[in-house]
Amino acid sequence: MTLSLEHVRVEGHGEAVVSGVSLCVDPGQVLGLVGESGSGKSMLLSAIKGLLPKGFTASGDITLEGASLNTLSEAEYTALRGGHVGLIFQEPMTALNPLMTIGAQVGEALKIHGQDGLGRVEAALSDAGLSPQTVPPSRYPHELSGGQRQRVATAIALACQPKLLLADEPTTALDVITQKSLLEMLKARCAEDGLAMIFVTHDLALVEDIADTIAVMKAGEIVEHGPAREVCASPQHPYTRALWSAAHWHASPASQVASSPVLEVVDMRVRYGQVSAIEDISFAVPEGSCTALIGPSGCGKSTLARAVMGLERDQSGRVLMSGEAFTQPTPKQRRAVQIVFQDPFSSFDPRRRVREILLEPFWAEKQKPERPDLVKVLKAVGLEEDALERFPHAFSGGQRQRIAIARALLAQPKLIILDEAVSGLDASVRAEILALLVSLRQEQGLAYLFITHDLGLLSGFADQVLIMESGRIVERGETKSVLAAPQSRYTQALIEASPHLEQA
Amino acid sequence: MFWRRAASFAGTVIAASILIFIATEIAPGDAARFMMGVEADPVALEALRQDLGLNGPPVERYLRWIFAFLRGDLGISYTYRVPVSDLVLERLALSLPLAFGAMLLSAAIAVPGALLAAKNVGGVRDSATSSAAYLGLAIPNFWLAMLLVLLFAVTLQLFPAGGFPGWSRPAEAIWALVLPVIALGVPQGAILLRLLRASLIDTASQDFMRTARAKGLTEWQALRRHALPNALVPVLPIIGLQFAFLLGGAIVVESVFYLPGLGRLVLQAVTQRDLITVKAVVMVFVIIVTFLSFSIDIISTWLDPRLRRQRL
Amino acid sequence: MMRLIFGGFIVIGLLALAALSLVWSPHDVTVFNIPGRFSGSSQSHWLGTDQYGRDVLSMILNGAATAVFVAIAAIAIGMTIGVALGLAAALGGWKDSVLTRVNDVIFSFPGVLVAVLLTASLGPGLLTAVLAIGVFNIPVFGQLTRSAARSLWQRDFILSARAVGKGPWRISFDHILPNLISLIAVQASIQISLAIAAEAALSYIGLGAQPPTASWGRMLAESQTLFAFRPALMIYPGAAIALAVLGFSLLGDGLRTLLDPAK
Repeated sequence: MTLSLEHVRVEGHGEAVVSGVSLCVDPGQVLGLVGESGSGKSMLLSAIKGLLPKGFTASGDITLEGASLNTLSEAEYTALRGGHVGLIFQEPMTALNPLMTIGAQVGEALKIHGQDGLGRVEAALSDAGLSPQTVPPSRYPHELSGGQRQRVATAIALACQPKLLLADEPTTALDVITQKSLLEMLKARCAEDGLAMIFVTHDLALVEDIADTIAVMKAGEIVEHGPAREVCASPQHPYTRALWSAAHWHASPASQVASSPVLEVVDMRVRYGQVSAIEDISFAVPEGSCTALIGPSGCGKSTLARAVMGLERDQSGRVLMSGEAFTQPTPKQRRAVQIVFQDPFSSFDPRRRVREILLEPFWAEKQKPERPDLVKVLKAVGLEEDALERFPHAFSGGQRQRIAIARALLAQPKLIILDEAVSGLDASVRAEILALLVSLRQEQGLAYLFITHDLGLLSGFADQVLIMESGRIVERGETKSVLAAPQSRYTQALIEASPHLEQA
Repeated sequence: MFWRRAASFAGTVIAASILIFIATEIAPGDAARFMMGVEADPVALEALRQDLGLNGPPVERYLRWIFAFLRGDLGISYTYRVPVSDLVLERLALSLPLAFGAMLLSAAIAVPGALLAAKNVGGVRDSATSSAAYLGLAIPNFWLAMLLVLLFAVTLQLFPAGGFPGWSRPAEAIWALVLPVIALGVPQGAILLRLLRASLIDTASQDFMRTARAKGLTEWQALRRHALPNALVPVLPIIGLQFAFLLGGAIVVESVFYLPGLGRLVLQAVTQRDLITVKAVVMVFVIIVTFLSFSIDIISTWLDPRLRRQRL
Repeated sequence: MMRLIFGGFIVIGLLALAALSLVWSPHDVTVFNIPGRFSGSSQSHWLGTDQYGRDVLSMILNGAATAVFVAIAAIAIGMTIGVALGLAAALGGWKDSVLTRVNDVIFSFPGVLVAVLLTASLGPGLLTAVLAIGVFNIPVFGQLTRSAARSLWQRDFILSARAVGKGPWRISFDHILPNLISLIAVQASIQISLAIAAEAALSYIGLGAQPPTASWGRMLAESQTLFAFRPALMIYPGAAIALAVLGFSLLGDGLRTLLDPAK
């Protein structure tokens, strides 16, 4: 056994954030630790690595390769970290020191533990999947993509051949394809080097592939624990079951697809200076249907959304809303299209109350919707009237997305654009919001343009699918047909990589 | 990239020179009358105007001034009757070492102080350092200078109360600069300390610090090797600005210690209405400050690779 | 929290005294009283008299009015113009380049030199001091507003505002400016503390308030030749300056802590 935890408890500020956790990991095994925000999973990891925040203490037995970690001093812990225990975190974009070359940062890890030698830096980087030809050690972090930076972080963590790797949501911020290759790399390292890994995530579907055992955490306790196959095939605890259905959520498509398009885009192009961000874009969204726009980060999906709304400076092409030209629209015409953004924390003016936020699309009108209308949309998204007088910071991420949807509804649009609107949410919250969107569509005949990088989410929900890559649409068609017989190389890779996709 | 910045700085200097010209030759109206006084003899006035070349179209006079300046001819001081360039060089020999000494002292105070405070945020050492910094920056530097003179020169008789013997006697010269450097450097150090501390605290909470600790670095090592360089990046431009402020502060401190520096020169010139000297010396100041900003820019680029070539 | 209270206390006290001195002071500061000079603390002169027999306490009070007036007037000018320029610059394009250029030029003059130049054109006095300090503060607020506004422009709620059809100036005033107010207020407090110090320095070297207007800086200058003889004359005005600067500085910092996490 590499790592063993017995009755571990973490307390701070008068409450227990982790209680009575007993787990173990063997060499070469992957333990998937699944839980949502607030479950205590990160605190547990912090306890293992000895980096609990001020005011928190851990009790219980934590043993690494037979040696107890409880009685270690800070100096001894420092020798442990990087040497015997490797750590990788969630945000690859900010995980590296921007002023040092990646080679220097990997080299530092080696030097601290006295393992620097010729070629060790290059070896560590290439073991993490970065070949010295394409990504030499003299590169700086800002010259690398998110996936590459995460590989560098992995190289740093594994440079000194530790016995245990603690990975705290390392792929949550990456797109599906990058995610898949990173996971494969990690799994290979475990198998080759006898490395034990604890992989923390909020996504049960993700961990199915990679983990040997799974532990599900809720409110500081382990509610289910067992071999991965068993936990996924027949989950015992109701919470696990809820997570499971959230991860494998799917909806049935609309009963029929109307013929007349609510949105038509013809020959759209957007440039940033000399560079073309998106080019040659033409598509249509039929009334009452859902179109999914899928592509990797940076392919131009959000740019396209902004261009449809007429918000890009240098754009050309035609946009038609229900057959009418949508150029220089008045505020009233603009209400026909509403948009919900990805980041619920920056979507609203922090100084405005919900009431004012809901009324924003009506800023130019003398006649605004009355309070009963406001209450109606709030209830429609599952919120109460008292939300009206409160400020955005009083709500959780999922609740804020509901407010955003309520605002969209109030304007009585024909089309709602959802720009990665559920990507930042926990799996169960995500499922709730998606269910809400489905029911609203059925009730009100709304059309959706759903932008995402995750194909699996929408496989059942979307009527048609547009696949985007590097600013162009590379494949399109009815969802079922595209999934059954993907034409482009990218679509094929996407289908293979998506963890949420129900394999037929 | 380098040349673009160099051109930008040249542009700033030129724009500043136009302002200086307007302020000293155009705004006072009849510059000759301004310099000689209202009661001056018209013949003498006309002679002065001829002498100074004040009877020409403004653009021509401006260009003549600029080209002479570039040749090193800063004009003849109206009050002292010697070439301004001689005066300037003489005074620079004091003002530059004074400013640099103060800058070094402030860095020596700020860096260790900020590190100490950032490591113990909220703790005793942090409160102590921060409070000291507060007091340090509240005290006007010329008052501090006077207090220092009162204590060390008058009461303890350790240092001279003022004056400067010249660099021909180096040991005495340095001794004479000690109190002025302290008077300038301490408030400056306090300001820098607060800025650097805030920047360090901000940097220390960033994700790459987590990675640094995860590698096995102690808190102290991570702060010094990773946080500090990153914390310096936003502070550097402010240091450039502070140098400008220092040169300004030096003007006042020079007055307390009766030091023959560039600051006192321009002050006396203004009081004596010696516009020629004022023009030239202000120009010299502007060039020094702009050059320093430029250097700081170069250093920033060296420090932060993200500011270099726009490759990606 | 302590800082806010402490600072606020000092500032309110200072403002009250300054206002008071406009209508009343224990003694008339424009009258010389040579026979009564250099007296120590007494019933009628709490802080004694200076070399011309003027009551030191009254001088301090009147000096407070000068300091407060110059500082607030200068910051008001710098802030109004600077924030407007900064908002414009955040909109990008030529406005941005112009502002950056203006900032660079103003910052290339060490603060005191702006006063020197203005004195050369306008002569010394209160107005010169206010203008000099005010001009110097324009780029301070300009830079601050510009960079804060630029990062706000990237936020989604601004995109929302654009999506409903609001124009750039409307957005600047409706959404950007209100979210910058706390930042600007904090900076204003700190700049006022710097302005008080600057006014003192200017009057010390003779470029600021001219006699008979009382000023702490000039009190220090006048006491300089005498400080071996009567150090108290140097201590009081210097301490007054330090206290005033400290007060506004603490207030600014306290405000910053108060307004930040509450978001």
